[in-house]
Amino acid sequence: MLAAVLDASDDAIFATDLTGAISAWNRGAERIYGYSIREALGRSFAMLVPRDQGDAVAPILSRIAAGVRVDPHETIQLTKGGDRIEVLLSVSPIRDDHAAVVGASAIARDMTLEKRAQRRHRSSEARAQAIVATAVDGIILIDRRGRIESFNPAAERLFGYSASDILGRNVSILMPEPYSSEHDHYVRRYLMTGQRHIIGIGREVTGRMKDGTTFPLHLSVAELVIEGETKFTGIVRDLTERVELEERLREESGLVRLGELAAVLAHEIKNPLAAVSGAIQVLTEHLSSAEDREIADEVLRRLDSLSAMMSDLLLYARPPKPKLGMVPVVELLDNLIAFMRLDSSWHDVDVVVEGDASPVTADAELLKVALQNLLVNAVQAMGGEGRLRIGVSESEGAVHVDITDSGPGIPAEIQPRLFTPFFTTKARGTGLGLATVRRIADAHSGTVRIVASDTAGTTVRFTLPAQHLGPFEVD
Amino acid sequence: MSTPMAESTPIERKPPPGTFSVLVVDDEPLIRWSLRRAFLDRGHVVATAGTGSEALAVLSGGRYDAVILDYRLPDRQDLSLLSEVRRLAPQSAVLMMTAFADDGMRAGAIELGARAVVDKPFLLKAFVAQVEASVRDH
Repeated sequence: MLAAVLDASDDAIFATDLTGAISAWNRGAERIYGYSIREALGRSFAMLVPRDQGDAVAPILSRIAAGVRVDPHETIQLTKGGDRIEVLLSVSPIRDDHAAVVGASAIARDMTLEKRAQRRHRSSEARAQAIVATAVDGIILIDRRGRIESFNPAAERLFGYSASDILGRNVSILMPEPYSSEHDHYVRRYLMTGQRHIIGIGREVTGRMKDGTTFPLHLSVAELVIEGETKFTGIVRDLTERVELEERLREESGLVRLGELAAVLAHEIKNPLAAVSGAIQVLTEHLSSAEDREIADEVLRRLDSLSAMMSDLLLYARPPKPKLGMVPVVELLDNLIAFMRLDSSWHDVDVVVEGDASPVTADAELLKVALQNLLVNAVQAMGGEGRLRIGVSESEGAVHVDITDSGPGIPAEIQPRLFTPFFTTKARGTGLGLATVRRIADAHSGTVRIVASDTAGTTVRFTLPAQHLGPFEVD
Repeated sequence: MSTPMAESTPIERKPPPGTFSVLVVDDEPLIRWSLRRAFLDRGHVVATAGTGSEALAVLSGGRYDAVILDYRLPDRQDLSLLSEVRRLAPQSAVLMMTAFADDGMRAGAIELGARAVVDKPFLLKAFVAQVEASVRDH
């Protein structure tokens, strides 16, 4: 009966005498070690011990002889076939009727499969950790009270907090107000009502970085239960670039509409302007007093500036397709400046043109408009008095024109808006000058930007590719 | 004599020596009036028309040394009037006026034989001088 029970066990159960000679061997032992009962009986327990463990049997037997049990411990044993198996081994003394130790009983559980499963589990956990650690998206785990339990490197990059800074803190510090104060309430509401507002849905929200900067992000939240506890994982993706792209697209589709509008406006406004201007020109002929003629001239000048504003709007909203040719930049600048210096607003400006560069492939007229706008701005910035330095240079296939004024500089907070249409700091200005420069730069695959601006002055750099097209594509 | 701002005023006399006849076509009465006055001041003979069809009617009734056409008229918003005028009056120097011209329209007008495309608004004296030069060279 007992033998039947022993044989039914999955574990290896065997007995030895105090020398280690095997005296009993169940089916489990046959299965695990590969020795039949006949092969095993009488042989030494030592046959199960790999050589590299040395004499592992002697210490066990001496403990048994002393009546001390060897508690279950993991060890490696050897099968008949020479395979190393991981077993959980426990050895107990066998006593006779007089309580004297006469031998040892051993129980060995084959752990190989279990170990393999454990290893597999550990490696899948390591893989999961590696995925989380290298994910492009930020991954944040919080408990049901909103406390951050895990914060991956992408989240560190996105929010500017290191994981050690933020673990254990409430996730609400990653959001601007009012969401920050409301977040605990959102979580409570969900836990109470089960109503999902973001879990499993995902939406665009605003994140707050450690330095207070806010940025658009897409957040998807999943609920999970780990060891009986409800937790939430948030996966956050930075949308800054996409939002910027969308803004740019909106601006561009706005421009198309503006272009259509401008064409209509130009006709509807310039035509009556021409009529009024023409009539005043005729009437002026008959004015006898000098004062009246002066007023009439002033009226005509106002009409001219209205008309010029319409032309600016048209140029910005419907820039002509560049008619490309080889343009020597320095020569164009020299001619332009010689012409502009005739204007009285330039009399107290000291102008220097330095440097040289190879010709650019550009539309000479558009290039002239762009540079003229920049020069007018520079001279206005220094109130018509100071030093205007124009540097022409060439590097890495690009030609740069640096226009440096000695004006008071541009406040940092308005610099990002300078190239936005209709932004102006002037009492009289359409806010189209720099926007048009940027449009012209874009049309030539070039750029325009403020490279330096402080109280000593401002430098604006206009850059065009030295060779916009191949030589055979030029008009 | 017709009122100064009338839509269509054919000429009633031949231009004296050194001067010429000009047809001004624009739907804006003030522009017709100003140009008329500016040309009259220089001794030229002026007719006016407010639409394309009026212009063609005037042209079929007389010979003009110069024709000044607005690009956008109530019955024409393209270069078709220019080509008809050129066919009907090949001896006339034709100048276009426009409040807004894109490059394609400008090039098309020159190709069809316009002597110039002038942007509105303009200086009357300079414009009249340009028309005089065009008639001389035509």
